[in-house]
Amino acid sequence: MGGIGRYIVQRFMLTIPMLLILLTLVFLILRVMPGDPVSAMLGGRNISAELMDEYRRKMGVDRPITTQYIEYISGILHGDFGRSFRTNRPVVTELFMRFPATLELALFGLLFAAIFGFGTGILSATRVDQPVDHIVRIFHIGSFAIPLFWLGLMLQVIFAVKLGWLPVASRLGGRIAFTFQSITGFYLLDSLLGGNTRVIADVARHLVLPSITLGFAQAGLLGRMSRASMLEVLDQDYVTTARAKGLKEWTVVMSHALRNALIPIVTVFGLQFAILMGGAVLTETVFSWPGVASFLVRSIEARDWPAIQGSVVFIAIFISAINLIIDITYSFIDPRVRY
Amino acid sequence: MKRVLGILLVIGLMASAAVAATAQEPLIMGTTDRVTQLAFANSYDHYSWHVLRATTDALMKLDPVTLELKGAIAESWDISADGMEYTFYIRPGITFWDGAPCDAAAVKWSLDRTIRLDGPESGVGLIKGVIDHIDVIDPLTVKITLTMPDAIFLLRMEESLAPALIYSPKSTPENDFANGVYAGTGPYKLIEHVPDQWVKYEAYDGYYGEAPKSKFVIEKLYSDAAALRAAIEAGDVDFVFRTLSPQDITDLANNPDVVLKFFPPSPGVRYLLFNVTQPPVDNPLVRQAITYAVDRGAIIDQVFEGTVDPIYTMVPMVDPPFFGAIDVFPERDQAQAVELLAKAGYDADNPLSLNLWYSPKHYGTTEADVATVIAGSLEETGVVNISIQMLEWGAYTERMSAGGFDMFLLGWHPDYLESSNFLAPWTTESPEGLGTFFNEHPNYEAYKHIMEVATTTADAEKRSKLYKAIQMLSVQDVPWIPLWAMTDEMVMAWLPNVHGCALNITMDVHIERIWKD
Repeated sequence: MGGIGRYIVQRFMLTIPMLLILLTLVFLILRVMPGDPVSAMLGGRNISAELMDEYRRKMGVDRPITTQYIEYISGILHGDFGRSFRTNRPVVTELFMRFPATLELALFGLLFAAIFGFGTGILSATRVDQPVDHIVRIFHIGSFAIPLFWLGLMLQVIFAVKLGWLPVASRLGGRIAFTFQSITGFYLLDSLLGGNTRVIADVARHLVLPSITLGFAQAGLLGRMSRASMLEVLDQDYVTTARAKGLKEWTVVMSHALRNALIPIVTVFGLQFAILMGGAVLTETVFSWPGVASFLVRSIEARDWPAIQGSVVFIAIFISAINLIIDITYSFIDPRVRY
Repeated sequence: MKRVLGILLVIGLMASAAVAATAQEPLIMGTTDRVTQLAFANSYDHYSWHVLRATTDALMKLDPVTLELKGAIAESWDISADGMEYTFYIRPGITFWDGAPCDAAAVKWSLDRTIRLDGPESGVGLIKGVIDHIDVIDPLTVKITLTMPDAIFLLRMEESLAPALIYSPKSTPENDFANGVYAGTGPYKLIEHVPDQWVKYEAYDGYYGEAPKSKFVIEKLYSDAAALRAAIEAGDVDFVFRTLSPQDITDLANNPDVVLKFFPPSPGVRYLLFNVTQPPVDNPLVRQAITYAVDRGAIIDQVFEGTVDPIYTMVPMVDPPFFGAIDVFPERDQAQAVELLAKAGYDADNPLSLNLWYSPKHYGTTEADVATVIAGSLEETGVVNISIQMLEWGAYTERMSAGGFDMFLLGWHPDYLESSNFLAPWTTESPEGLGTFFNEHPNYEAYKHIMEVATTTADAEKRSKLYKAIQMLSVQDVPWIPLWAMTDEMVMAWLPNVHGCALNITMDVHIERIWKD
């Protein structure tokens, strides 16, 4: 096995105890908290206390915690995350049904953040202390200060309600949705495979506002990082040499400075992914986006223990995988990094 | 640069034109509700039942205009003299959308299956204990024998109760809840339910009743009231139902591009409850004083902007299907409240201290404001100190059922449309589950006796008198204080080219009666 293969295996092995600790913590917290799934689902209805106890027995939530835990871990080892109390579907099915929506949104959020962040960062760095630099820096700082849900609501009001340019929420318009059949769960990919322009346009239009909302804060952070990193690199001797050789400024920045400036930015990119998933909870809620994050929120409200546990582990695996990919990416952009 | 902008503009215009030109024009409803499970034996929520009802029928239904009970799958029926046997004559020629006949055997099979499976997340208990057994007499005649006389049995067989709905033995798995796997009688066929996204329907051409006005319907699921409001304002949906916030209702009412209408009265009620064993509210004088001190007007004006209606009894004032509703609780009278509290031993030097419990999200986003306004109105007497307490819903109901509350807020949507369902749950049916512990009240046996007689009395007038008696007793014993009817849930908003939007006391939107130009 090569160096990179060994590194991936090592990282994978380290992920297992992390997931086990996380799973155990979530499992215990859910059972220590007051209120169980039966209370959350049936409480406030005309159901006797005896019947509630019978349902607890049927659902198995009245058994000793140790019994539940051993059974749950054993199930996971066999790939069984249990069934959602709320929907009665396997948790894995629920998650895989929603994961493409979350990933599609995250990718386009990151794409927006990358384009906007890098773009403004480089622009700012190459025009340091000029008016455009000040404006961009104010924008970068402002992007952290604006609450994500507020930004989403404002974008909805301006671009959907007032101007009517873009849809308010969800992944597809009702008219398109009626005939649309998804194959992969990634609607943009499905629409491109289908080749129907009006479906492609509808999917793309629905992605715009949520992606901007999710990527906005990331764009500011990436912008600040890009600016700082680029300024540092632009001060290096090899950049001065490149300029002295008479290269155009564009070539100096894009060909010589950018690659070296990318290393700290990529690190931040990876770390930001966990924050991005946190943002996805709000974005998915504001834009009625049917992803894993909004499923987790609804599951928490319903005390749907298997669904909560499954979602948390799923998100943790997802973030771990992304961080692993980011680490591997280093070796391509920084020749000093070898596995 | 100009060339790039030009290309982008052309692409944008083409995309917009392409989106505008649609091959099919489904009717689009927006809602914040969610399907939990499309399972007759394992679902118990408003929206899941709505989808089931849109796709199949029960033996009986309520006339949408007169609200009188009438046959649906059953063409007619007989009731034995002792009230123990109900014989239903099935309308000939009904088929499920899978082609199977809807006959006596199908009726028996589906009711038996629902009762046998009885999932933990179901309302099967509403019919299970009453039905002893079901016999097929001939292909179009089915006889249901009860465990005891039940004056409201026909209402239990009405389509408002999803466990009473009839579905095809051919398409529905026998021993599994089978989320979404079934065939019904129509008016619509269920085409697709994508969780958290939409439910699609297509009209069933073989439906035995009036054909739906719209051939295709899609119900889009939004995450909250703000998104729902924005969706109708932007024209993304044709109409919206459940649930707009009071502020959204007020704003949409002033929007000339949207039609908004209330359809009162609402069968949903909100009220204060007391654990009658818990000091200091174990003293009936204290509970009576609170009935005089509470300010319904302040709740309605300050929290709901006038979008809900005050109520002075639990039973909705709609006859039929509700009998015997009578306003019994008093208007606000602070002097009377202070006098009663004085009799109970409380005054400005020795104020009454009690908790007011609420759950922050289960009834929407207004609950904290409601609790604050109620506490304020009680404290205005000068002899009451309220400590507002909050718990998330799961913990709230657990503590409630364990007797951990003194005074608390709750809401009610009926299981079936009859007055007993607004009187019995907190007093004689589930007093511990619903936190009143009224089973330990001295008058519990009296209530129980009256309710037993009422629910086994076929004569509507006699039943009505018995329900009135319970309501009058409740003013003295005060297990509850009715506050407001949820008229804000009886609201629909639609675009001007949409027709047929209406609601009645069943609180369900009949999509088959709605169409657009």
